[in-house]
Amino acid sequence: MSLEIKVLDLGDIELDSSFLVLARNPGQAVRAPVFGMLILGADPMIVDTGYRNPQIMQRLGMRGIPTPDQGLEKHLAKHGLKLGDVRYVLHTHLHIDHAGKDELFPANTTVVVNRRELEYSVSGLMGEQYPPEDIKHLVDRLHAKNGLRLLDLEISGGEEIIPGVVCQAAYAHTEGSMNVLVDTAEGRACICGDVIYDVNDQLVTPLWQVSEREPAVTGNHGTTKRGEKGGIKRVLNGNKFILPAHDRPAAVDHGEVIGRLHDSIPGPVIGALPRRKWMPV
Amino acid sequence: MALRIEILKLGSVEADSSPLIDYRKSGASVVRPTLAYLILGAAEGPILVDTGFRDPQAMESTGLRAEVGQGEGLEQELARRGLRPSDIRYIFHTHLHVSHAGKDDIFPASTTVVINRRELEIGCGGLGGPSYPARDMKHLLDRLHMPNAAWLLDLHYSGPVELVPGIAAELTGGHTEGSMNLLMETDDGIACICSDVVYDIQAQIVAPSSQLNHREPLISGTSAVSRAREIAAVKKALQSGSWLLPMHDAPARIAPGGVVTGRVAGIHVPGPVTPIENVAVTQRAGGGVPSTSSGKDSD
Repeated sequence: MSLEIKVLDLGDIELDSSFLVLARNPGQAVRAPVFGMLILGADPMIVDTGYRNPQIMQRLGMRGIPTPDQGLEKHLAKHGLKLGDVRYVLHTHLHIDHAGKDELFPANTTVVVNRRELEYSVSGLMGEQYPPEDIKHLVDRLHAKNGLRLLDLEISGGEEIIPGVVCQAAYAHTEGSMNVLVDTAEGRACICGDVIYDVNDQLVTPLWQVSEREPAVTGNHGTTKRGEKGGIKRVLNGNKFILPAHDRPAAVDHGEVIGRLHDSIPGPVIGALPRRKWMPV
Repeated sequence: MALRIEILKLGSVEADSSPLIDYRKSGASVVRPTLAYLILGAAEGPILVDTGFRDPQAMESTGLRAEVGQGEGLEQELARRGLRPSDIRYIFHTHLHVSHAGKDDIFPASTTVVINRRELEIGCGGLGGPSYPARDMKHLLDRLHMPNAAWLLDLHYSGPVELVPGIAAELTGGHTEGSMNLLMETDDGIACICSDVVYDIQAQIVAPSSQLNHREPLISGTSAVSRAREIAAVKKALQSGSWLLPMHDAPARIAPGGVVTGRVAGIHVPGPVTPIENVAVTQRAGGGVPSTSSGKDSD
């Protein structure tokens, strides 16, 4: 089954640079997009729903700045869809800017979440990044018929949602984060949530790194540093495209970023990063 | 610091026999009390262990019939002692099942609710189904985001921790992944509140009718952990003090080595004890047909 992925532009945030990439320009504010993903080719499904409202980002000392052409419903409409057309809402994780609009979806839209992430969201371990409003809605879904589909990815090793869409444990960012792997006509795409915030500064020219193929980690994770490194490599391994939630997608070949894409997978590669051949001295 | 414990009767629950004791006859129903414990004598103020079910309707959603009898119930039991909810300094939760955390919302935010973090996770993770009601969990989520309204423990990583002088919490190792025992120093030895690792002291420990091996307890039918861990959790609770205090049965007096020697006669721990031979039929069935009648000993 060949599926397509469309980037949904849900609304920007302004935050400290070092939150995105560890130890990058602390004190300097940067602006980052918030992306959801729309998977087409079967019953429509989306990955992540953005923040509840711009004000809620202030709980983290950030600013939500949606531009007039951003937003979930607006971007679904661009593809001729309304909320009620969405069969599944998948969550890479449940942070404040990823699960804020689940309650807009009717009861016959099933929300798919890794059980460990739902657990982790009530652990208190990442504070206000899991707003009680969002999580209480999911607890209501937990007790509504087919309101949730819970995955046990750390134990199952991966679960197929529909043919061509498989979820796998990310083992990074949060304890319950998951990657969504999508089979496209041009190879497998990995929707990787917040395991990667910034393709250039974490992968292409990884900040502060000395060793070969050593990715830089984000400034915001609840797992170990080594877990983050391994989680990033897991995203790069075997996939042709990677789709972070706060940066434009990238094309990957044998674990290296070779180009960037805008809002469509498959789609035109707009910035090529040709691999440099190793040369003997 | 000598701590005293009083038994609060919050109501009773009628359930099928089999969820309580593994392999016991299905179809037969038993009535168990739902208890809370009030700990007095701590410098911090009165401490409550568990808060019972929200109301009988909340129990119905799990298929159980509950009743609050004359003079029973958390508010009545506290009022009888001249206590208002705001007088309670801490609520310690053995775990968060439907009959244990139903009334946290009558307590103000200044009453700190103490939970093992893993238990809160389990309560919202869907593994327990209706045993963790949405209303109870959503109240706890509100507390999670209010200053000092919740105190989360990390017993899997920390090992036992002292909560206030003379009271420690440690993992039960059984029942649910996050359940904890509470260990209190009294004038007459350690008292161990053992969550729901033990529902029925007579049927699980004193006369575990279907067990052949020496000192092999029966486990409950509601365990969410492996059989080996659940059996070990019963044994651990028995080794943890001179008093064993379950949440759905009358407390017992424990002799060194983990032997039940008597049952608490009144509402006080430490307090008067009825020796075990006077409580129920003999446990030394010796190959005959054991005839312990479930639950009779407890209320």
